[in-house]
Amino acid sequence: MIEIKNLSKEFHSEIGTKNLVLKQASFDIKDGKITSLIAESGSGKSVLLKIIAGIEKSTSGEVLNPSGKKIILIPSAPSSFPWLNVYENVRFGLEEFNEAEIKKLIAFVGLEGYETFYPDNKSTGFRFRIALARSLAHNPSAILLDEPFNQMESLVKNEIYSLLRKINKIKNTSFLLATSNLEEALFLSDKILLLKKHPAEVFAEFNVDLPAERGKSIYSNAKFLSLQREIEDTFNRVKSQSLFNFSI
Amino acid sequence: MTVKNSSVKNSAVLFITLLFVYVVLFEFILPVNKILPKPTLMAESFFHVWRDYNLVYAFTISSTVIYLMLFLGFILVYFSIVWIIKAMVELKPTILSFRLFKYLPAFFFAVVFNFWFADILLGEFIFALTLVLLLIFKKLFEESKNIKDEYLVVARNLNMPTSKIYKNIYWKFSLPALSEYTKQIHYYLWVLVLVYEFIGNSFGLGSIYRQALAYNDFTALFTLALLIALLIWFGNYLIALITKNLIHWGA
Repeated sequence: MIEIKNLSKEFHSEIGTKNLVLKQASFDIKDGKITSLIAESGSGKSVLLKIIAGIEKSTSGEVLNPSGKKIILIPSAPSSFPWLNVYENVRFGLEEFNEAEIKKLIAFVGLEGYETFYPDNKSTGFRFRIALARSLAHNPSAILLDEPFNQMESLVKNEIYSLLRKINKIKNTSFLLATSNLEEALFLSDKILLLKKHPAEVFAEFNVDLPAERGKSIYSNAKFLSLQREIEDTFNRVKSQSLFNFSI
Repeated sequence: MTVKNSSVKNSAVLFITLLFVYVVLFEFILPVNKILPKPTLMAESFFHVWRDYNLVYAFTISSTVIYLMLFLGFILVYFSIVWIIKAMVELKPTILSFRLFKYLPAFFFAVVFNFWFADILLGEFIFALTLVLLLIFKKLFEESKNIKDEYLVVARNLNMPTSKIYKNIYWKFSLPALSEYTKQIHYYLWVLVLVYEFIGNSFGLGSIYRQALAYNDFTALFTLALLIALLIWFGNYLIALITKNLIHWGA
């Protein structure tokens, strides 16, 4: 389990003003579970993910990762390198690797037969699969996804949803998904966290107690719908409250 | 039909039309004029220029300076890319302050180098190499500012050492734009080396230009221009052929 404890981040401008973008964020990413972080665009999700992945430093707070394995972040834009083929992209950053294992991972994400293809001019879904395989190659303690579905077509999205659930189930991989789409969060997650902005702050947590096997029928499930309403109401309530919060 | 094919076809049509107009106008209507030389004189002039101005020797010098220094410039950059990009990333404000010099005409540098290395061929090599390196640095600096954040996020997340990030990410990312820009470097190099030789009046095609101007050899001036244009076109074609085979990805 990864524990995020009281993470805060403050940026300093050149003229000396301070901008608090993240305030006391505390939550955990349980092993083998998919956690979603729901927030509006520009709320500081990406900063939070970068801090958890160790790419940015927090002003205060800490990330406890007792397993010592890497926490991999897949950025919002497809991150496969166009000068490397699929195989080279997947083994990117590995000092030692087993060729057969890499090929197995490529097949696992649905890219078997594409090992020598270059990702340039390929679809977002194709490049996301490469990023997933590369992340899995590092045997991470968690994979952080920063709004990965924004540029995907709906058919591709559904395939990737299934792939994520398959990886989660078979490899027991933990995910933290940052998104602004409540439906996809409910479809994929075991737990949902709500984040308000200015500064980003986790203000509510919901357990998604839905069947593990989720198909399209889940969208009309009564529990799904009532949870969706509950989360929307909570979100809107906090949003309207924040409209009346003035700071001097 | 692709845009490229259509553009090639349009260029060919334009060339043939202009050639036809030129032949009709200056061979038959205005054979004696001070605008353009007579086409038959131009054709004969190819052989005169070859013989009277020692064109082979001049061509060998100019093209050796240009292509050897272009090649050497890229080799030097390739082997020191880590330090170059490190400097560009870490000393960005200092480098930006050098923008001040962009208003100095390149012609000025040709004059200064001629002053420093009067009648020394090595000076021309140093001038061309300096030019190639400055133009490559300029392009690399521009590209280092455009690098996609997601590439850096992935590399840093996987604990890739900074030197490897410079070599494997920044350099590879810059290559498509740099290869495209090489055609421009090639063109600038031709122009400025010719200017350098014209000023120095010692070596190369530029010095032939100066002699032709001194002798009022109107036809030779046009014949040389045509020859140089053909050389630049062929050079660009070769550069495009090489880079197309080496760099298969887009920026």
